[in-house]
Amino acid sequence: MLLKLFRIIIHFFSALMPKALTKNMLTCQEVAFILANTKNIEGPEFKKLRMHLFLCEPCANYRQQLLKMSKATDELGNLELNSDQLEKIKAHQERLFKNLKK
Amino acid sequence: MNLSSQEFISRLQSRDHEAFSVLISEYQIPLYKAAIKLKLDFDQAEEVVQQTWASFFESVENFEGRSHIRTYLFGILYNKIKELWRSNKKYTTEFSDEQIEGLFSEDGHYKQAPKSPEYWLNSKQVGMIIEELLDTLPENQRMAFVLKEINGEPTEEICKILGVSTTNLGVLIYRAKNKLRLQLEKRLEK
Repeated sequence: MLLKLFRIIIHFFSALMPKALTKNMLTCQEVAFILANTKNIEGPEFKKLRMHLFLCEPCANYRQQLLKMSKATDELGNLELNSDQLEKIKAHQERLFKNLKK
Repeated sequence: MNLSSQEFISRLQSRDHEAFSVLISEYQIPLYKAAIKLKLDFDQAEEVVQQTWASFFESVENFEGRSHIRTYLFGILYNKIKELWRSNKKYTTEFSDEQIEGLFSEDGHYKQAPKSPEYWLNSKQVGMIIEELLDTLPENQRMAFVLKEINGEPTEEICKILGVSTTNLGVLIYRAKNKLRLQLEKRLEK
């Protein structure tokens, strides 16, 4: 709750800051692009990004959404074939071997 | 046996049956799995794997060895799958690329802020919805997303398979994730 209030205040004041002060800060758009393509943001090169995430609630929510999606897709990646499918694949493989010998 | 060695490639190119058998044993199941992860049913997967091997046997003579043999083989598979998608015309767009680019104002702030995903369901259910929503992505975005996020292929391999630069792949992934994210938000909104 406190963090939320803090973020609202920061967001309000950042809108009033002169451009010269904010030009070195990442925009939400830049953050969105980086987060879509980077899972690990621990390194020193992501310092600005982490600072942005700390201060910006929409970007923090965006990151949480991507993390949820990533967890879900990781689970989709663990595909187990059933015994019937494995049998069919083996039979297909045997047919390929036979064709090779022809 | 080193499947990317020049010796092994030469054996394949001279139609050595044993080399082909080794390759088939190594990649038959991974090819099926890759096809099924791209939302093909088992019969469709069998069909595209069959076509992939046929194309591979025909074209291996032209393989120049600039990538791993696995990349070459899976590149054929993914092209076959794209052909199948095109013939099925399953793609139904929900969000356009322009809408994704228009998510932000000129100064780079969100026009409509992402909402907290605290009300999203567990990851298994989110995964099921993502699987369903994949059909709403354009071909290249869908392929890039599945290869990177579901199949876990390295970036370099995906770029070779799709014939795009790393930057372009980044854009495809960014657009795909945002389209899925927005649809998830819409679907799971209370």
